[in-house]
Amino acid sequence: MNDERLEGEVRTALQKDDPGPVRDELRRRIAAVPDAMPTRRNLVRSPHVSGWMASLRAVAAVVVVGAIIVAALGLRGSNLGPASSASPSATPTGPAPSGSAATPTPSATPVTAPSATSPITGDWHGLRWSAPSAFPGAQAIDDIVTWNGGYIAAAQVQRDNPNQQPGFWSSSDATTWTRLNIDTTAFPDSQINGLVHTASGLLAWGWAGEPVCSGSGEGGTTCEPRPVMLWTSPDGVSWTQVADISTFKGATIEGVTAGSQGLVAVGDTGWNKTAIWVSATGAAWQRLTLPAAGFKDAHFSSVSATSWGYVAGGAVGGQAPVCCVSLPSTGVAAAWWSTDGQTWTRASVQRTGGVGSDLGAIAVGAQGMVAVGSASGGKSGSTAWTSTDGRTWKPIALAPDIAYFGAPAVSPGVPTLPAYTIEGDGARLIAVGQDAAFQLAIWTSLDGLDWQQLPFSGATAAIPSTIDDYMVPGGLIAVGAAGGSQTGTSWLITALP
Amino acid sequence: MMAIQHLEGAIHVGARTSEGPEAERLAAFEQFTQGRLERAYRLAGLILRDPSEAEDAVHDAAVQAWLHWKELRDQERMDAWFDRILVNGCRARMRGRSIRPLVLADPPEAPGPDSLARLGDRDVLHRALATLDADHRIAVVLRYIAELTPGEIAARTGAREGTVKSRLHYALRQMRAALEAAERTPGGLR
Repeated sequence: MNDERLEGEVRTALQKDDPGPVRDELRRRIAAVPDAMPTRRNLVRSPHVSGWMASLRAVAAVVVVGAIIVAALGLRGSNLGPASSASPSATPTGPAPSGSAATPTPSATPVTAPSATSPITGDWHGLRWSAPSAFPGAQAIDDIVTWNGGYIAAAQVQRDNPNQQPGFWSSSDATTWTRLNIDTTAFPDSQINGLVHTASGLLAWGWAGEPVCSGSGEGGTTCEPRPVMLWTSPDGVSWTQVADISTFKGATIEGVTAGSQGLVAVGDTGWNKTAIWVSATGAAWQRLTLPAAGFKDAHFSSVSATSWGYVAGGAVGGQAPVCCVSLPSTGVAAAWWSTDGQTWTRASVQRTGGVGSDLGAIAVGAQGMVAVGSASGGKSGSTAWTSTDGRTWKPIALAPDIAYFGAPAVSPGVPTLPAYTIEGDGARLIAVGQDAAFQLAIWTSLDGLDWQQLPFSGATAAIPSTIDDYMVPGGLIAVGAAGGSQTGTSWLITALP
Repeated sequence: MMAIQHLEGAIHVGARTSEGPEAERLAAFEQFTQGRLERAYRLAGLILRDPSEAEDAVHDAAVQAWLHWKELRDQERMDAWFDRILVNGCRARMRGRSIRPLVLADPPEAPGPDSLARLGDRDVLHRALATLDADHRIAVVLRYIAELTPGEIAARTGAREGTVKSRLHYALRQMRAALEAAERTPGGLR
C-alpha cells in the first residue's frame, strides 16, 4: 500500500470516531459561558513590584504563605533552616550499589532520615537569552546533559530512510553544536529516550525496532513492547551496546536516574509485574526482587535521584488497560522512596482526584519535591503533589490557568503551581509554561510552593511560545522552534543573580 | 508571594449588558464560538474518542477563550488561537489515560459496499490509531481531518514543524506496521 492510499485509509479509519452532531446541551453550555465566568482577571505574577508598598506586600506574603505552609500543609518545620552539613552529597556519581541485588527488607524507618538539604548559592532574578542557534541535521532532541565542561545532546537524525537513527551533538557553550561522528552500527533502528551520567561516563537508554504485534480478529491483537536498548560511553563519542540486557526481556522502562548509590531504572515486564533494576556503571544490570508489601499492583511512572537517595512515582491498583480503548487510568497515585536504591518503601500519598490518579514525574529541589500527575483518570486534567522528604506527599493547588474543574481549588493564600512542566536539578526547581497572554514564562522555586516568575532579557525577539528545557549549571538550555525552522533551535538561557 | 499577588486581581461574575465594549465582546464571542462549535466538537471527539469528554473539552476551551478574549492581539489568528486552546485541553485530558497495547476484542463489522479486505484494513487501522499517544493522535487528526499543514499544526500544538513531521511519519509507519502484522497473522485481515 503506497503512502497516498495509506493516508486515505487513515482518514477513513479516523471517521469511525466521529462524535456526530453537536447536542443542544453543549450549545446551551457554551452560550452560558459568559454568564458563569469572570469578566475580568488581572493575574499579577511578576515578583518585581517597586516602592514601599511592594515591601509591605512582600513581608505580608512571606508571613502569610509561610504560616499557611506550616499550618495547612504541615510539611516544613526544621527543613526551612539552612542546609545540614551532615547531609549526603547530591552529586550523581559515587559508589556502586554494594553486594548483589538481594531481596530488600522493607522498613518503616529509613536508615538515614531523608531531608532535602542541598546548599544553594546565590539566587536567580532573571534569565538572559542567547541568540538562537541550530542543531544541524537534528530532528527531535531527545536529551541534553553536561559533559566535560560542555554539553552532549542526543537527537533523532533527519533522514528519508524510515528507520530511526539517533545521533549525538556536542557543544562547549550551548550555542554552537557539532554533530559527533559515531559508529551508527551500535544503534540499529533505535531511539534514545534519555541520557544519564554514570561513574565512568554516560548511559543512553531507549529502545529499538517496531512493536511486534500478533493476532487479529476476535482473538484480539497483542503487541510486545519494543526491546529495551542501553548504551554506555566513556566520552560521548564512542558508544557500546550493553551486551547483556536479558534482565530487561519483555520490559518497559519508565525512567532511569543516577544517584549517589548508582543507577536505578523503574518499569515493568507486564501488567502488575513491577520492576526495579540497579547498576553500578550501566554496563551490568540486576533486577531487584521486590517485596509484596508496598508493591502489590504497583505501576511505576518515574524515578528521580535526591541528595539522600531515590524517589519513584506511579500508581497502585486499577485494571489492565485494553488495547485500542482509551480507558482512563483506574489506579490511585502512589510513591516510593529508597536511601540506597536497593531497599524501597512505599510513601504516604494524600489522595487527590481519587481513583484514576497517577503520581508522575518527580522534580527535586533543595527544599522540596514536586510531582505532576493525573487526577480522576485525566477527566479532571492534571494535579500535583509536593513533599519535603519523599515519604509524605500532599496535593498542592494549581493556578487557574492550568487547573481544570475538579482539580484542587485555589484557596486564598495557598501557594499554587504555575505550570505542569517542572524540572529540578536537586537544588532548584523550574516551571516552564505560558502566562495569561499565552507567552512563554519561566518560574523558579526552591521548595515547589513559592514560585517567582523570572523576567527575560537578551535576544528575546525570537522566543517561541513553548520550549523543551534542560537544566544546566547557571541556567537552562532551551530547545524549540524559531522562525518556522524545521530543525531544532537552541538557546542558552543564563540565570542572572 | 505570587499567590498573594495572584489574588489581587478583581474577579466578578459578569452580567449581560446590551451595549458598550462588554456587549460587543459578548456578541463577538458568541458569533465566534457558535461558528466553530461543530468543527471544535468534531476535532475534540476524534482526538479523545469520547463524545462526553469532547463536550467537556470544548466547553473548557470556550471558557478559556472567554477569559482570555481581550488578550488576543491578532484577530486574524483567532482560529489557530482557539484550536490551540482546544488541543492543549485535549492533550491534558489524554495525559492521564493509560493506553498500552495489550489485548483487543472488537465485534466483527458488518460487510458494506467495500471489499472485506478494505474493511479489515480500516478495522486494523482504527485500532492501531487508538494506540497512538496524545501528541501523535493530535497530529494525525489535525493533518488528515482538519487538513492542516505541518506548519499549521506546529502553530496549534507548540511543537516544532520538524517534530510534527516526525510525529506524522512515525504514526503512518505504525499504521503500516499494524497492517503488515495483521497480514502475517494466519487468516489475515478479517
